[in-house]
Amino acid sequence: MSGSAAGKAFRNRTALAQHELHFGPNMTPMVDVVMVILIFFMASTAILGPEWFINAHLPEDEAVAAVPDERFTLPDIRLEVVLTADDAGGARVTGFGVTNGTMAELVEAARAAAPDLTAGSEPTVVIVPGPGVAYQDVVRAHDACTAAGFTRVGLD
Amino acid sequence: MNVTPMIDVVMCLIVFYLIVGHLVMEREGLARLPESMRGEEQDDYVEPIVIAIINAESVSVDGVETSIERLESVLSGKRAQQPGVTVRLRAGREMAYELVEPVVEACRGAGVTSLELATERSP
Repeated sequence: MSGSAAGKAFRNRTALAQHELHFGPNMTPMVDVVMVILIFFMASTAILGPEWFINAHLPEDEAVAAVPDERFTLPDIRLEVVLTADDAGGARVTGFGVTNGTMAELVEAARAAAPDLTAGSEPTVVIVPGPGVAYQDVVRAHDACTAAGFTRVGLD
Repeated sequence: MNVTPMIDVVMCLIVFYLIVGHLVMEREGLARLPESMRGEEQDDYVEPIVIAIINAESVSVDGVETSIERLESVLSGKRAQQPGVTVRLRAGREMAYELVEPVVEACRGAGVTSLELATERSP
């Protein structure tokens, strides 16, 4: 008698018997879907992550700029960096003492000129792209000026 | 073999890709942004006005296509509703600046003094 009771306690259940014992909703599909959504959000965040933003001022044209009322107020310093397209699809730069130079020369010249020009004033550097200049080169020139220490860099 | 969970997952993926892709394309415009070494992350969560350049004649403002001629008035209207809102410009890196310039002029005409240029972080 005691032997039959022990036999019942340790009886192995088949997979079918275990399946039949299960009751309530099946959670597996829901877990699958939630995991997919989770991974998708993680992946899409990684894709969108590297985007960032640069600030470009939009200074008014000189002709329409407001004239200050004070008699001895000096107008804001306005420096121009002119970009022209070259035959190779790149851009040549004129500004900060560089004439028809490369972007690397602009970086050096802007860096050399920045300490004197930014001492006691906040000059506005305006990038003036010519016909055929790619937007990437405009952003590159903007980068060069902000890297040199100019805080107000604008587009014409 | 029970294929129900797999079908669930695949359907979910498809619907998700469709919805997200459509939303992103509508609002942001798809373009290879220019690379920059100096930029800032978006630190606040105030939704900017996003202008994406489509072609020489038309742009998209917050996902709604409009012509370059109407851009200034559209921007003025939006800025009147949300004073001080940031304006963000999305344009492709290979795009000639002649396509960008009318947008910049329209922004200036609408009283925008500062523009946020969307770029990709340079590797």
